[in-house]
Amino acid sequence: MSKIIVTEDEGERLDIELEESIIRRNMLLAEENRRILDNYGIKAIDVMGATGSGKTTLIIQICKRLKDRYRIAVIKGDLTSSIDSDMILKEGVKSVQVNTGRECHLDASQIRKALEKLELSSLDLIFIENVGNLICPAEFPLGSHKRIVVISITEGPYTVIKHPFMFMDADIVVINKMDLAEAMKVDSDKLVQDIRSINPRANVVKAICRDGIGIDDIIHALNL
Amino acid sequence: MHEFSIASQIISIALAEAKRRYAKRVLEIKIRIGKFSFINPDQLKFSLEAIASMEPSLNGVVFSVSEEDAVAKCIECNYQWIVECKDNPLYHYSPPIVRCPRCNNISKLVKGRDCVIEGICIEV
Repeated sequence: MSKIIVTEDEGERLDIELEESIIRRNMLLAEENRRILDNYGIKAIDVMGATGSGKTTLIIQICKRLKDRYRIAVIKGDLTSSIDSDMILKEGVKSVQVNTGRECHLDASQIRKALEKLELSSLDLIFIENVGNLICPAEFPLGSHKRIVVISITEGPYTVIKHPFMFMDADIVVINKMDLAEAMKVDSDKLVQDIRSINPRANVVKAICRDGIGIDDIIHALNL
Repeated sequence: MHEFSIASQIISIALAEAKRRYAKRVLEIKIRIGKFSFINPDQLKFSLEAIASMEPSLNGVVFSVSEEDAVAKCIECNYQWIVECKDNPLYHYSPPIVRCPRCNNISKLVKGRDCVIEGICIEV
């Protein structure tokens, strides 16, 4: 019996069109995260800001006030350490640490994996603390319902105009460490003005997170 | 920075497609990045080459990277125009706030912020 073997010519080149957007891939994953959260009736809040701006302190202060009313978990992105997660755990709030290793931001697929580690049916609220960075996280939506950007007086008077993109999609901007404004000679009203010129619909709250000042306003702005 | 994760995603898309088509090897990967994307083309190429060097089926692969113009659209009057992109390294991580040349309102970039794998050329 003769056998017919069909082969393609040796070394044939084939052009394949893909047109697949890397940015859109993350966006679709983020939308999927949002659907998962909505299915469980969970509200997720993305907290972004530079290293040392006070993201963890803000989350801890909010947790202190809300942990009796809501079941809360924190997803925490960091390059390597678990210092912040340990602080959050002390508050009796569940915490998932995502070590991003060489990455400068959290992305939607990492959040998806973190969500798998949580018992979603027993949660009302998730805070996602992004990697300390005012540049990259703006580009990678995670699927959260609200975005908070924390800046601090110690970052100087130009932190908003230097990173405008970060503030464009923020729902709430916290100006932290207000007690240092005078010593730093930073005009916080000018920072508010800069934020408004980029994003007129953002809620701006001046705060001293360490001392719990301004936290209630932030909770109010989150509709919690 | 994030160029590495973008590069790994590009490579994994290309390899998956090549495998699906029983390719012997991948000859070329075509990528398009927006002029106001946050991706530094040199860093992206460096990461792509580093990853490709560990993958036998990508031996000798050529990365063709093209740029896409940035287009803005006014949120008030809907006017669209191509935004002049001066070579400012700052734009790689923070695109400028653009204002409409007609009504001076804040406008959104509708094109030029993406990173797309256009296609691959394989040997079968």
